[in-house]
Amino acid sequence: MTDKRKAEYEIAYAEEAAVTKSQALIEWAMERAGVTQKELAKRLGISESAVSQLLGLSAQNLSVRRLGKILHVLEDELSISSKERDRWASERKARANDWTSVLRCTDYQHPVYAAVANDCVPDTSSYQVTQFEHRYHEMEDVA
Amino acid sequence: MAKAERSRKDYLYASGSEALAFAYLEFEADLEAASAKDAAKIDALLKQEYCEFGRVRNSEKWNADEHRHKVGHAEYRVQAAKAYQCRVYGVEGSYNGSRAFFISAVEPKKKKDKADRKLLKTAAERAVELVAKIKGAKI
Repeated sequence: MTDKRKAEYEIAYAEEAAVTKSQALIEWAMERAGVTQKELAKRLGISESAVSQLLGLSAQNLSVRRLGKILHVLEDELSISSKERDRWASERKARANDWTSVLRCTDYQHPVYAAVANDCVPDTSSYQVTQFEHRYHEMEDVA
Repeated sequence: MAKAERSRKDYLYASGSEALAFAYLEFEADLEAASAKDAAKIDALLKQEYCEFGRVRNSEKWNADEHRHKVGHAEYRVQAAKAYQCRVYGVEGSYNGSRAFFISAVEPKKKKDKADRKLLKTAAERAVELVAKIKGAKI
């Protein structure tokens, strides 16, 4: 594959993958809700042929705004993300898990865990929490 | 000298939560004869819709019945993934119990409305050959 073709293909794939996935999501949500194209058109206040065009090969007039509306009328909800954002979020979650596992293993019991363990509402702004976290960060710096 | 045995991985084109797609070895080279936009559409259809959702529901994008074609004593129903000008033919079956599409022919720039019968026949024959090479595959 030449560099020019590769660049053209990659841009086209980014577009086509987004469109194809959006259409597949709509069709899946329609099937799940037991809604026909005719019923979807009625719920959206557009013609049946407009729905057919939305789901057709060139996906005419399929915007993010419209996708959000379609999924809403099909009792679903659009959730948008990207690979990098997902990676960032999972790394952040992994870090948070590390932190909480350290807390569970230390000799110090975190006041929030202590409160939850005793079925009390934790006060995250309490002096003990601030003190605990201060001590934890000191430990982390030493490590 | 004996030919080196190929593994299932050599034929695996895409996989998702609902299905897999296998292709004959020259598929990607053959797809290069299609425009970049067509190749991207076909890839998106197979990877993002067929493999992730288990099938392509819209008839503008998928023809589930390009007729049955006889290979040996059995008949196989050829299906087509459709882009703007390009068509990709294959036969649906399974791989170790999972839904699978066996890609067996490409028409990079379709000139007529009707599919080329000779190419469809080739698609059925090549799908049978492809399935025979992949352990666990059935059509």
